[in-house]
This record gives sequence, C-alpha cells and structure tokens, in this order.
Amino acid sequence: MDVIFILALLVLYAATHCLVVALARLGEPE
Amino acid sequence: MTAAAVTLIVCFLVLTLVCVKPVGLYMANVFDGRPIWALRTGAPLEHWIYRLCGVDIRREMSWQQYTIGLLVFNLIGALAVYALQRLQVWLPLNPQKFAALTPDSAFNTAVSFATNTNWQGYSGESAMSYLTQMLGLAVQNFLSAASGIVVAIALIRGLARHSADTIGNVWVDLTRSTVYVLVPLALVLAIALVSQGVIQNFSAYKDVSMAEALTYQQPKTDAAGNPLRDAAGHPVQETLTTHAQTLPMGPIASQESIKELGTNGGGFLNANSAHPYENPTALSNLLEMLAILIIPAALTYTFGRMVGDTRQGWAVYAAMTILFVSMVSIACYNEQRGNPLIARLGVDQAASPLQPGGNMEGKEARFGIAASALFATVTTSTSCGAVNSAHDSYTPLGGFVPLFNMQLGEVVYGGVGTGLYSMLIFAIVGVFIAGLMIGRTPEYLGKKIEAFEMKMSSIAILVMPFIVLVGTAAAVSMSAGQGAVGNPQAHGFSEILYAFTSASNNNGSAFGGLSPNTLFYNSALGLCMWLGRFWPIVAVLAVAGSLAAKKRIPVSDGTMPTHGVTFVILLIGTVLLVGALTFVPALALGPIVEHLMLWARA
Repeated sequence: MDVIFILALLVLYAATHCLVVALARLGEPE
Repeated sequence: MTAAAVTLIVCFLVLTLVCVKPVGLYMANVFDGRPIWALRTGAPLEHWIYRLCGVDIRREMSWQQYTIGLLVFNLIGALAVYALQRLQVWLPLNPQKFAALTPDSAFNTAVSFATNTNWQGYSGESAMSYLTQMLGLAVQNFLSAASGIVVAIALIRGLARHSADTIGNVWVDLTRSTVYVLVPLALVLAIALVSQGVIQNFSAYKDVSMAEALTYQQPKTDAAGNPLRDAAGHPVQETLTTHAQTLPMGPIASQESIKELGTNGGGFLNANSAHPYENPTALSNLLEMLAILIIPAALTYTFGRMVGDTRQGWAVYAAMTILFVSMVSIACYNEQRGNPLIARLGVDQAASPLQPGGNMEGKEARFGIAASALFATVTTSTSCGAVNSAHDSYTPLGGFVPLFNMQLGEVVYGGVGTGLYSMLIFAIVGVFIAGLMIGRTPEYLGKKIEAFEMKMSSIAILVMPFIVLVGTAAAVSMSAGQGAVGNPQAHGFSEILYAFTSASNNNGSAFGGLSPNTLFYNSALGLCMWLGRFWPIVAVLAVAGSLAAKKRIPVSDGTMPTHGVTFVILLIGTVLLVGALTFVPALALGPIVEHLMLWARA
C-alpha cells in the first residue's frame, strides 16, 4: 500500500508538471 | 444581533485594520529586499540557509522555473510527512507509543498539510506522536503558508514589473517569508497564548479520576470506521460509562500559533480551537482570530505598496471587508435567532444578562454565539479551517455561511497569499467584463488583459468548482461515499458538499457528522486537495509571467480607475456572481432546503 500512495503523490506531481509545460506552450507567441 | 455581538465585530475589524498598514509595509520591505533592521539582523542566518541549499540569490526565475521549484518543494514536504507518519512508532518523542497511521490516512494527511488544507481525518491526540506533530505537521504549517505567500508576491511582481522575463527567485521568497514573516509572528503569538493557558510540554498524557462517573452516548461504528445504522437508516448509538479521563499533553502553543497565522487550521487536538488547551479564554480567542486575518489582510497593503499605488490595495481590502461584514452578519443573526422547533417547546431563546439565548448547540459556553459565529466566518473566509464550535450544529443558514465563504474561493481576505492572488484573478476577470461592456481593451494596473491571461484566469477560477461538484456527485452516488454520512436527508448532503468544498479550497474545516477516515474519502479528498491547491497556482503564476513580460500602458482618459467605489462594486459583483451561480443548485439541495424544512415545521 505504501508504494501505491507514494506513487500517487508522484503521479499528482507529474500531472501538475505537465500542466506547467502545457500552459507554457499555450503562452508562446504563434 | 445583540449589542455585544456588534461591539465584538466592530472591535475586531478595527483591530485588523490597525494591523494592515504596519504589517503590510513590513512585508513589502521584506520582499523588495529593502535594508530594514530585520533583514540586516537576519542576514547571517538567511545567507547560511542559501549556502547550505546551494541557492544563488542573484538568479531570477521565469514563471515556469518558479512554479517547478515550488512544486518540487511541496512534493518533498508531502513525502516527508508521509514517511514520518508511517515510521513514527520507531521514532523518538512518542510517549504514548502511537502506531503508524494507515497508508491512506498518511497520504491524506501528507497532502493535507503540504497544501495548507490541514483537513484532519485522524484525531491528533490519539494518533500522532509529538515528533510527527512538530517535525511533520508544524513544519508544513510554516512551509505551506510560505508557499501561498510567495505565489501572491510573484503575481504582484508580474503586475509591478514591465518587459521582464522573470518574477523573482522562489527559494529567496520562501526563505524570507518563513524567516522574517512567519517565524517572528508565530514566536510572539505562541508566548501570548502560553500566557493565556495554552500548554507547551513534552509530558506523557495524564490519567485523572473523575469526581463522578460520566455516562455518554456515541455513534457505533464498524471495523472500517463507518457509522452503523438501524433499519430506518438512523445511526446506532451506544451508551458508555467512564470513571477516568485522560488529559492530552504536548507542545501545543508552538503549533497553535502557526496554525492560525499560516491559515492552516490543523489542530493539535481533535476539538481544535474549541479545546481549552488550544484556546482557553476570550482573549486567546480574539488573538487567534486576529492571527488568522492579519497576514491575508495586510497583504493587500503589501500589494498596493509593491505596485506603487496603495489605493489599489485599499480598494481590494474594501471589497473583502464588505463581503466579510455581510457574511458575519448573516451567521450571527441566524445563530442568535435560534431554532424555531426548540422555541415551540417553550424554551426561551432570547438573549438576556443571564443567558446568551439563540442556538448554543455545539458552541463553547466561554465563547458564546457572537465569538463562535465570528470565528466560523473568519476561519472559512480565509483558508484556515480552525474551529472553535461545531459548524454542523449551526442553524441551516448559519452553517450556510462557512460553506458559501469557501465556495466564493476564499477571497474575503482569504488564505495567506491565496486570498490575495485569488482576488487579483477576480479583479482581472472584473476589468475584462468591464472592458467588454464599454468596448475597450481591458487593462489592469497598466497591463493589457488579453486572451492568455483570461484563459489562465478561467482555469484558476474553474478548477475548484469543478472538483467540488464532481467529487460531491461521485460521493453521493457511491455506497462508499454515502456510508460515512451521519445524518440523513439535506443535512447529510451538506456534510458531503462541505467536505469536498473544504478540501478543494484547502480550508480543512469539517462540518462534522461525516466519518471521513475511510479509504474512499482519504483518497478522494487527498486528490481534491492537491488539484485545488496546485492547479490554480500554476495558472496564477502563468498570469504573473505573462503580465511581467508586458509593457506598461500609460494612464489615459479611457483607463478604468481600479481604486474607486465603482471598481470595488465591480469586484464584489464578480466574486458573488461566479461563486453564487456555480454553487446555488448544490446549496439549494443542502442548507437552503434544510432551512425551508425547518421553518415550515415551526
């Protein structure tokens, strides 16, 4: 169970990191 | 409302107002790095921290670097709190020999304290060792509060700078907000609380014999902690008798002070600020309420100072205060009005020199109605979540106030940092709406508000309602969600709605009645806390980066003033419309229908 919840924390971080990358691309001039 | 209630509220607002300018000015000087006494004195410590961590203070960061730094910092914090809870049985400062928490509870608490939510599915005095409380929870109280402050500061820099690629250095901002703002204030408040009787020790718990046996009832639960029900669906109660009482001990004052100052709210003890060891007197209650509001309110002045026009900060402060006064008035009025079903039994509910009158259920006799309703409004209009009364026992409309405060996005002063940056996002939306109405390109503080800022602002505002409503809908549809509810009908729905609203807004207060220490609620609320905290932060920092890069437009005849009465009304209208329109259907199923049912039976 510990592995599952530690992985869950890492997945939440990764998803938020991806959001940063996606929004940064959205803000780049076309 | 009674005259005493009006006096308390007015005195409290005046005290808050008096603190706004000095504290706000101090924070502006700290974050601008001006050579004030505090920064000169703390410089050796500050530079030692930078050397230890390998931080180059001259290196400014883009919004992406700033955001990633903040996210990694909080991820490490969450992992550390998780590890402490799981390993506490083998670690020191555990005189009660508490076992490790379950993985799902540890996950929930780790996310809860890293996100400044401080939702507590556990009971502090019967689950957490002193080491976990101090090294895990109290440390996160400082660091999560600092994380909120630095996001607000970065957004202010975005508005204040022009043609810039950077918004500051996240490590410097985190260090300064902790070392110069939170630690000194927490130290002073902790000493003040100890003077009022809040305890601070490492003693083992004390068993005392009671003068007479106490018989009481409590809901019976199954092995998973869910309340058992009879055939009619009502909770099954068990009657217990006890002759002894265990008094919890611990380093409470040090945690209590940052709990309030950082708008964290997670109590050392399960009863939180209703417990006499956390909040013993009327003065400690006033100090705690003031501590909750002081940084969020003062940040409005910091904002005005850093953008070079303090009128901008006062306008935001005025909008917040008007909303606050409205909310506390509704709460106080309805609690003082009492319960009509009890009045029908012939019970006198009028306030008099001999009794407080009104609805005293779930309230501490030493605080009474006004100090409880004011505390409830303070704690939910900010992202604190500390409680000195049972919100679950409020009248339906009294309980509506904490719920609605959170659903507005906690912008009425709000959490430390989160309140200001959320309000500034509403200001951006407000000037955009005004720009549409008058047919001009919207601008705020000389910065054009364009498509990217509006997309980011929309994300920042809409993430919270989305996860609250989807989470509530999922919980009421699933047996795992329904099983934890202690009350049937509308009130039970309010309990679930409150839990998801509290978690998603990083408030952490609970409506009671719900038994959320289950795998479903620990996991679902943990997810909501993370998304509700960090996804809006990413969008806000994207706005900060985008605004910092823009040129400043000079003020012209067509510029809408953002420091006048019109703007204050526009800002309040934007907050209310977004909050109200999003949540009215859900509120109608909870506290509003409960109010109508109650008064229909009167």
